[in-house]
Amino acid sequence: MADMTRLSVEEVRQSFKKKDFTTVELTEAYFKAIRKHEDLNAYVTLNEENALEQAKKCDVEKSSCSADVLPPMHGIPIGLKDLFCTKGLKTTACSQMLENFIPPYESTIGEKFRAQGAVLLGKLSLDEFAMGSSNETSYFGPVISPWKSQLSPDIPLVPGGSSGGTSAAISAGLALCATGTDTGGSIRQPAAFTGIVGLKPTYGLSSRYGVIGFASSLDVPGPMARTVGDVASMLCAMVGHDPKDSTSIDRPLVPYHETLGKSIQGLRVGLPKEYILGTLNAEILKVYQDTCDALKEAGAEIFDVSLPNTLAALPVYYVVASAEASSNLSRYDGVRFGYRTIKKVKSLDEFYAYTRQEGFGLEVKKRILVGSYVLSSGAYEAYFQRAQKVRRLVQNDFIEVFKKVDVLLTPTTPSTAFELGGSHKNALDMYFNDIFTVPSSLAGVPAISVPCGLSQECLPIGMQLIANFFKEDILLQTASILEKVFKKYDFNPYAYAGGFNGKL
Amino acid sequence: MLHFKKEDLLKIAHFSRICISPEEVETYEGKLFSVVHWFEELEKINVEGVEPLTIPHEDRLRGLEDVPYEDDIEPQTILSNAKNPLDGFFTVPKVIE
Repeated sequence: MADMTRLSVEEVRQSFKKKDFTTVELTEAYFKAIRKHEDLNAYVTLNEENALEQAKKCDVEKSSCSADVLPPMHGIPIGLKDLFCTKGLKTTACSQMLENFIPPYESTIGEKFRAQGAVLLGKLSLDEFAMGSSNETSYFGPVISPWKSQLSPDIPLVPGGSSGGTSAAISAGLALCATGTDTGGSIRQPAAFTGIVGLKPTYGLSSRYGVIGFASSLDVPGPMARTVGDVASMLCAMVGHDPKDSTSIDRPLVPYHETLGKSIQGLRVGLPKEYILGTLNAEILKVYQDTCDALKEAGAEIFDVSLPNTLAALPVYYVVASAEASSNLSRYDGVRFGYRTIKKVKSLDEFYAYTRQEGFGLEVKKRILVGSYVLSSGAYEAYFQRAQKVRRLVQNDFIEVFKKVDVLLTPTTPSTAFELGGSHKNALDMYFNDIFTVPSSLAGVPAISVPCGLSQECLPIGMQLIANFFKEDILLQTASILEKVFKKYDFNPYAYAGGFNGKL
Repeated sequence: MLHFKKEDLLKIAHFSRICISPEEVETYEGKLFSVVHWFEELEKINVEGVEPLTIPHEDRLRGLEDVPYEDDIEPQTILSNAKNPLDGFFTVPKVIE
């Protein structure tokens, strides 16, 4: 039998039905894999005892009823990004500030997975408070990608970020699927770097309740998995109106599986000219062209389109996200929960200031300072309000373009995964990783990253599809066609351990 | 357009309630200057007559009902993450001699 830890949700469900293995056996296999790959540092907290207990419960439930009546995620081993509050289980946001925080309540999405009978393996690493694109700013140390460059296999690579623990774990087979959050690309960029599928839903489709806030007008929880079908299964389990989140949108539920694999004959695909930068990596450009050809071959019509305000999106994003972060993170003051300074202080202000100096990492403090600056009098109109106006122009670009096409195709990232510690030459280098993902975040439209190729170094390359508000079904349908075409590549990082040549 | 200066850094550090050491002033000054300088690119875009966009679905925003949640979290559970709670209250260090 194939390695249990590389099966899809549907394959696991079929195996459960045929009694090939039990939920306990599957859960044990995942913990064995997690222990074997501890060096990746993907998990912050393991939930082994509770997971095995839940797995036993699933096996009992399976023995007493037909598998067809059980929820789709029943007995599926999942991970949660450590930004999702888990009742009674440590939730840290990978910050010293919340190193020992045990939430008294569960996030709505965590609750939905619990209700379906999913088995929570543990909490996955991220950049501190989701601020980063490489998972290097975690207080608990960087996460290492399971992928290696065939040219320099001894140099560790980043798994992307901020959902880097999630991407590394799924890619390495340490979770069947897991949640991420995407503020400016934090699901799609790590998915692209590790050869998995990552979907940022429409803003407001998935509840933010119980997800530690970074930038509330941008944060979107979403699914990450090895296959498009698994992402669709997770999305069905995750979405739905939540009265506890005032930005949650009340819409009828969509059976996302129904469009998978269906013909895309006549689908109108737009190629936005602003995304094809002169500096774009040649290998990524080649995969972009291959992907475009694959869509054409499958019956799609291709159009050149323009989103004129694309290049302004990145500075807009860093103004807006920093401003919202400075506000969201003001709650960490050392009084009710979280880290507290032990310095002798002369005033409460000093107590807050030392607590926050010691409890937050460098990148988080930098963004709080930038955010406070753009919100301060004198800078508010010049930066914050202007950025919000340009944000509307960015959104208008998408509204206009989706009158002409159904889907946009762009690369997900400007490069393949980079070396650990390799992107800190100046304060802005890291921010440019998000150049293709940020515009759709500002607009609030959904987008998905699908692995579509490998570089000469044997590193995954992801392509991004963007659709109009609530058109996740079209994204998943198109992604499923691409997945079929590019199945010739094995996006298993361990498939090429003996070398790249001859494997394709 | 505005220019970010060292005095601005000290002022916003105070607003943010983040203590910064003299060494950190040096680290942040350059980083923040380049980020804020980059933001000035937005000046090139004509935003005359454009309304600010605060959230993607501004027309669908609704307030939460002004009623307390009916959950069963005990005060002791809320206090369980606090340092040195006393008689059911949060505490802060003594700052008055």
